[in-house]
Amino acid sequence: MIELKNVHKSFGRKKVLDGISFTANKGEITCLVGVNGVGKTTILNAIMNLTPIKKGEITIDGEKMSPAMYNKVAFIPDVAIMLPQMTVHEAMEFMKDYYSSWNCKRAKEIVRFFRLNMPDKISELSKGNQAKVNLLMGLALDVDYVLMDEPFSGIDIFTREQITEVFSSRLVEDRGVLITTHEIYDIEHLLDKVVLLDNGVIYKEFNAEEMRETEGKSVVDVMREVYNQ
Amino acid sequence: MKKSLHTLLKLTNFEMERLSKFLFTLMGLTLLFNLVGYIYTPMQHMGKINEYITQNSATTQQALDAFGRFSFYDVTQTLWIAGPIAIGVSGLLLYSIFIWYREWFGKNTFAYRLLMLPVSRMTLYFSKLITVFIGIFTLIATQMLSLFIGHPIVSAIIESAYFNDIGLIASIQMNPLFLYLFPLDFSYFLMVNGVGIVVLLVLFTVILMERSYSFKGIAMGILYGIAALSLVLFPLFLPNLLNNQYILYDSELMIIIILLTIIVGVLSIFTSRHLINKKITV
Repeated sequence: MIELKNVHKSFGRKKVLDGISFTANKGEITCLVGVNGVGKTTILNAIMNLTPIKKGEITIDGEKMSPAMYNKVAFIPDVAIMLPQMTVHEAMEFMKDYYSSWNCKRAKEIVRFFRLNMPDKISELSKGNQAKVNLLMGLALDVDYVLMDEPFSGIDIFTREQITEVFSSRLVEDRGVLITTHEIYDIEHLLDKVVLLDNGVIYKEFNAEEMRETEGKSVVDVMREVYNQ
Repeated sequence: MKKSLHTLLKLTNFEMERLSKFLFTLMGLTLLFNLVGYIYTPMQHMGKINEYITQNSATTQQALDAFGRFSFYDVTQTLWIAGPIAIGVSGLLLYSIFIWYREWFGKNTFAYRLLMLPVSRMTLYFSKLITVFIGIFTLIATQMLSLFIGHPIVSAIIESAYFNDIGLIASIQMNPLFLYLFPLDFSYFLMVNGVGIVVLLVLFTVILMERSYSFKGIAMGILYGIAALSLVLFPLFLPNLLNNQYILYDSELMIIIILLTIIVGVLSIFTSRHLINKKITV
């Protein structure tokens, strides 16, 4: 379980996270929702120790983040993070070299699934294909948790469909997925838990299935209620 | 321990591959400029002598009296040799900054990948440090190789009557610039390279401060750099502070400077470790 307890973070005088606490469980898809600049990416960066927090505690299965944990948690940011001059094949070799959790068989499977060409240079790929390479780098790791930051941002409808398919495939099966997005339509039906952020605090946290059953509201309905106020 | 050393070697090799193009360019420039110097400078000298002899119907002795004997040392004094050294030093100094910033400001944000590698972040730090040092030594080695090639070229162009063959080693020893590049004394070699390492360690700390605290980090970095330099050079200004009383022997002064340099180096490593592990931001 990924657990955040009373996490505070500021950029200069601006408070971005003001006492955030929530959990993301293994085997579930948890979605962090909020308008731009609400601190979604900061939360993911903080979990991965890519930005320091001012106060609070973040643990993964009870342990604090350490280098060894990068074999247990994968982060897929919304920017290209492999060297542009690398080919897809070289990027995969790089991952294999450094990560004991790299699963070659699964990596090849994902390459086929996304129809990527191994000899292609990353810099020459379209934005959608670069997003697929990012997904490949994260999903081919045998990790317990996958963090995804805005996986649908700025990509075409076909790539979007392919990425959506990933969420219902065995590529994320049994893993804990923590995703941030404000484009929720495509994956709404797949979400287990939703955390709504507003002004650096958690506005609402609910189980998507329960919300549908008890109140007859979809995630988008709840979002409308919150953000249209 | 064995595994982390293996990872350090892998990462250093990876960084070396990224440096290779730039390094080969610097090596090529060094060899090219030097070669032009080895050929052009003695030819120009011989040209002047021949012109003098032709115009004045002078003898060899008269030409020697007018121009003196030409030695390999004269070539090493020219811009054809000093220029590439200056380019190499400034190039590698800039690369020491670039080696960090390219991870954030390149076409892709490779800093994400590097900081998420399942290895100690200090391994990453040391791989960058070692890479810069390998670059420095490779350029020094290229310069040395070039001098070995240059000496026979110069002696072949200058007619023996006008050539003062003081030998390659003497030519190097006479040039103050080469004393830093090729120290003859081992303790001096250690000192020059020790100071070089500490300068790099301080520079890396300043960069990591900026990467951790942004604008505030720039101010912190500048202050840290000034403080580090002041601390190391403080003993040299001690007599001035004590109304020109020289209370220390030169050897004692040197030992104090070395100790302070080591302290600054160790402090920089620990500060960098704290920053890269706890404070750095993508």
